[in-house]
This record gives sequence, C-alpha cells and structure tokens, in this order.
Amino acid sequence: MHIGLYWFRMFTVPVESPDMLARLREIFSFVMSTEQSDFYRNRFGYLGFSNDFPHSLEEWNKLPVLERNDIVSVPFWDRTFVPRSQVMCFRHTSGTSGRKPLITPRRAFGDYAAAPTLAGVKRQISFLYGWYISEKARRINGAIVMNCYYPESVEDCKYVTALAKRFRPDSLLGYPSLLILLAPYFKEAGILKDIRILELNGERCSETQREALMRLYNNPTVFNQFSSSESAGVYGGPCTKILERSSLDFHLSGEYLMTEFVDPETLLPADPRIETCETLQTSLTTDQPLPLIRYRTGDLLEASKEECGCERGGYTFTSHGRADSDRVKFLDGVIAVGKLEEALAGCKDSVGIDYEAHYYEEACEDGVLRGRIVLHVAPKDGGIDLMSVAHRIAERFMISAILSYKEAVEHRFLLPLTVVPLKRKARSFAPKHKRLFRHSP
Amino acid sequence: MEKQSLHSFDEAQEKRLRKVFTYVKDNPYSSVYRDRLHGVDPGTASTETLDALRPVTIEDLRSHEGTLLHVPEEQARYLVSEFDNDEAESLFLVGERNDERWTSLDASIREHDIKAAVIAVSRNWQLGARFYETCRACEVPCAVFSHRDVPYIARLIEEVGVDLVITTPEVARAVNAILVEKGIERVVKVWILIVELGVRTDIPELPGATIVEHHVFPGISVGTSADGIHLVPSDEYFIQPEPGGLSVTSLEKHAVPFIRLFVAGSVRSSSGSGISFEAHNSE
Repeated sequence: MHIGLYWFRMFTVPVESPDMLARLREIFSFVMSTEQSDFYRNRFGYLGFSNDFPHSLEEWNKLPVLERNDIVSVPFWDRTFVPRSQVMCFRHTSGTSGRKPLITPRRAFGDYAAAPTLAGVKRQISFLYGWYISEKARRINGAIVMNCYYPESVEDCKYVTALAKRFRPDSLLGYPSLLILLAPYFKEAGILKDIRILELNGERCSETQREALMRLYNNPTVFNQFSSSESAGVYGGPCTKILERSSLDFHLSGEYLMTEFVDPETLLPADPRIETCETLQTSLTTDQPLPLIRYRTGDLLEASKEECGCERGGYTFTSHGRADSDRVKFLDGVIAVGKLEEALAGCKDSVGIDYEAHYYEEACEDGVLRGRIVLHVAPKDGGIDLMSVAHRIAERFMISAILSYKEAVEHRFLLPLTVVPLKRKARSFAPKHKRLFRHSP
Repeated sequence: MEKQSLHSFDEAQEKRLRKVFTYVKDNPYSSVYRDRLHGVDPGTASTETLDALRPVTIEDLRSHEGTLLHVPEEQARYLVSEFDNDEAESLFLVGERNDERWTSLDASIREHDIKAAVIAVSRNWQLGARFYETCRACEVPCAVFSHRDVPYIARLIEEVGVDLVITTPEVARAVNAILVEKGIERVVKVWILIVELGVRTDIPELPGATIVEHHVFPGISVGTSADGIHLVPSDEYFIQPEPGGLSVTSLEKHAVPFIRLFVAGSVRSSSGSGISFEAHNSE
C-alpha cells in the first residue's frame, strides 16, 4: 500500500532528534509572557521560575500537571491564546472518557493537519465528529467524504447501510466497535467487499476487535489513528511496516506535541518500554489557541521494546485505552479491561462472541460505593453455566466470582464479578456506571 | 386547480431558465432530464415550455439509474434525500457544489454583525462542510455540533458567546429553555430553523430574529418564512402551485437542478406574501 499523503510524512519520514529543551523554553516563555491570556501566569507564576526555565528535563518534570478541570474552570476567552479574530472554529471533546467535555478553540483549517487519508481512498464514510474539517483534506487527496451519525438503533444501522449502498464507499473512518457492528449489514447489502481501508479512531481498538475487523472485512488495510481532541487532533499513526503487518501500533508525531510518559498513579516519569504509562502532552508551537503544558490526557500507552526499523525510526506504541475507563481500579489494585476481555475470549468453549462488560458502583450497607464488574454473555450452544464462567475468569484476577458484594468482603476480595445472560435492549445506566467493552458479531 | 404563478416570471427569470435548460439538456454527467428535454430548444425556452414538460417526481429522482449530479463528482458534495433516519428504504443522494455558500447564513452574519455561529442538525444531513466554509469566508468562528448535544450547545452559547444558531425548531426550543433558565436567552441574535417543505411544524417563540428555511431535501432550501407557514421562494428557485401540489424549478446551475420537481400536497393559499403549503403525509 503506497502511502503518499499530505501530512502523513509525520509518521514515515525520518525525524531528527529535536532540541527539546530549547523548544520547551520557548513555549514556556511564551505562555508566561503573552498578553493574550493570564492562564499559565496564574497557574505557575507563584513558582518563581527563571526566564530560561527549564534547564533540564528533570526540572521540567517538577512542573504541576494540568488536568481537564483546571481548564474547564477558566472562562473560555480567558484561556484562549490567540486574538478572537484568529479563532475559526470550536470543538468539544467527545465525552467518551466520561469526563466533562472541554470546548477548545481552533484556528483556521490548515494550521492543524487534518486526519490523513491513505492514497487510494476515493470514497469514505466518516463516523467521527469533526469530519467537516478533514473533508477538505480528503478532497485535496481526491477523496469524497460523507458523514454519518454513530448509529444507536437498528433503524440507524439500516439508514447508514442505505446511504452506503448509494455512496459505495471504499473506506470507513470510525470507532472499531461501530465498524464491527455495521459489517453484517454491509455484507447483506452487498457493499462490504468494496471496503478496502478502515481508519480507526475514537476509541482504543483491542486485538480481539482487530481480528474481528480483519475477518469481517476480508483483510482490509487497517489504519489505526491516535488522536487528542484537546490538542492537535491526530498525532499518532502507522508507518509502512506497521501497515504491512496489519498491526494496531503507531508512531507518535513530535512536530506539534511533546509526549511525556508517567506512572498513572504517581504521575512520576516512567519508561513506556517497561510498563504501561499515562501520557502528558505539551504543545511545541506558540501559535495554538490553547497551548497545553503537561496536560494529563488519561491515555495509556506502551512502547515497543525495540525501535521500529522503518525509515522514520523510533519506537512504536500500543494503546491500552484510558486510565479512567479502560482500567477498573479498586482498593488493592487495578484490572486492565483489555485483559478481562481476553479472559472472556478464553472461554470460547461455552461463551459466544456476543458479550458486553459493565462496571457499576453500588452503595453497600455501610453506605460506601464499591465497584462490581458485570459480564453479559450469550451462550455458545445450548446452555451455559454462568457461575463456572465467572469462576474461570475471576481466578485470573484474584477477584470474587460471586453475586453479592457482602460475600466478596467476607472473602477479602474487594471486587466481585458477576456473569449474567446478555439481553440487547436499552439499559438505564445508573449514575456510577460505565460500559467497559462490547463485542457483537 | 387553476395554475397560478407565485410571482411573475419576468424576462430576467426567463433568461435564467434558458441557461438552466442549456445546462441540463445533454448534460455530460447526468441524463436525468434528457428525455424530458428532448426536442426542447433551450435558447427559446419560456414559462410555456416549462409548463409543457411533464413534472419530475421525487420517485423519478430516486429511481433514476445513474448520478443526479450535473457536475463532476469531485466538484460536488453529496446530500441525502431524507430528513429522518427511519426512511432508509427511500433514501437516495442529491448534492450541491462544494463551493456552495449558505446564503441566509451569510446575509445574517453581515446584517447582525454575528460574532460566532453554531449549527446543530443531524450529522446525516451533511451540512457541516457548507456551514463551516461559509463561516470561514465571513471570518466568523463556528462550531458544528450534534443536534443531540442540547446541553453542550447551550454551554457553547454561554461560554463562547455564540449569537447565531442553525438548527431545527425542536432543538431550538430545548436550547432556548436552558438559556432562559440561565437568563442568557438574548445572547442569540439569530435563529435559522430548518423545516421540511410542507411539513407542519410548530415554530417556537424565540428572542432575536428567526428565519425559517423550507428544505425540499436536507440542505436544499427553496424558500424562507418568518412564521413557518408562508413560504417566500428563494431567488434561486421558481415555485409554482400545481394540481395536487407544487413544483420547484431551479433558476441557477445547481449541482442537482430541479426541472418542475413536483411535491404532492395542498396549497392553502398563494399570494405576494408567500405560499402556504402542506405536503401529503405531513404529520
């Protein structure tokens, strides 16, 4: 697959190691001295940094981490670093993290590179928010784009299918779980065979989902994008080697953002080649309407042990989802949701491929909220021993496969796991509830 | 029912009609009007010529094999034919030129000195790109939000100071209710509300100027009204009452032009102040 794109050079062209300290000094000096906004002066002014801060990356690491609430709590125009006349559009973060969405300013199209499109894509349906900005980029590359809602019902899926039947896309851009959901509709409509390229964005794609996409779409080219709504949009993508092996890995661009890796619990610097880390973003250009300084993204990444070996060089990264939704945290530790899904997939002898996982917090007798994982499964053939499945999975994670929290406490397992039959109908979600993952044929 | 012209089809409009006939007859990209205009001399076309043509129905467009686009595909953006997601069976693609600008939006921005705008309609309607490009041309910052994000729309209005909103009457009512609760309903100077042509819709009472656009397909406005009932045709279309409904004819070289496109319904009244029309199956 030839990759010759506007902007895609970020992930394929060899990168000179930038003088990171010099760039950090520049951005820090800018945010502390600009007349446009007091945001960072109010934030860091009391720390008494010298004019040539930072002198080292160790010194930089001492700068307080920026959280979303720190931004949301400041009036919009007070935290905008360009004149109003230079703000051309507003975006809001997707809300998929469960955090309060942040409205961010953006400059005119072209300042931020649009999502890349592979050469060869001619007709794409996008399910992503903000598609209208990339629509122009795609036209530059000779592609036509249509946009669709994330379907929330069977009627929605039929609508999308009818539109796709008329439009005949060769590429889809959207959430992995959605593309899996639509595959049988597209197949029945006779249009699935035309779809050769899947661009993934909006949520982490698990290995299980990747295998499903490869199977359902007959080995398409999978282009896994990594992006951030708060900053520059897409800043992670595959090189040719990654595409050739149909991997979900990606390189991170260093042109607009510096990415730091920290322990999700302590926020101290950590090595992503050794452990899964949370990322902090710092903008490296002074022209951004909302420059970020050590912004805590909530994204969890792990780096490859060896460098990629592609022309670009550097390490590749794997997404492990989000710190606040792809890990179930409880008193004594953490369960990675992806591992939970793998464990469920390991029960293939009795569990079908249609399942969901949800995490609830429920008030116990003492009034304290405690967590519970509920797996909704469909049997493979005939009946299913739900308790047996629960035990098999729970054993791996040292949690309690029981139905009541009280018993879990008695057995000193602080997180109970329940396995129940799958029923596909609208649920009313309790306030302290989130869906961990969902898989359907 | 005796045919009435909504407005006099003057010489200038006849000239425009001839250009459209020239444009569609033997168009290299679409054959949808080829048979209808067989034998028609575009150079001498008149209202009588138009009247003699068999009306085109929406079903004719839907069932046409081949594209409806009269321009190369790379010069167009596709639009959809249906307003609702439960009309999948009848969906087909229409289109607009990809340099199309939103006329009423453009005019409102200039007239009211708009500082920021938001559109909140179904993403399936494909209107984000035209809205965005029009706002950019006017140098007005904008946002493309989902019509499902009512609280976020209100938050945007409050945080950023959005003073023009394009949406549907239902969403406008919901957003305005939140703004009233916050005491900031006067922030929005202009509401542009999109309704389906001929579908009876309750237009909410909103502070600020309200423009109701009547779309024959999502994104294709054929006229506006202040009250949601009396449609004043857009300068780009000729609208004429017909037996059993009305017809729409393009007076510009649209990407998908209409030549006496028939919409079934009842014309309640037709005068200089507008046409009151109710489509069949309007609920």
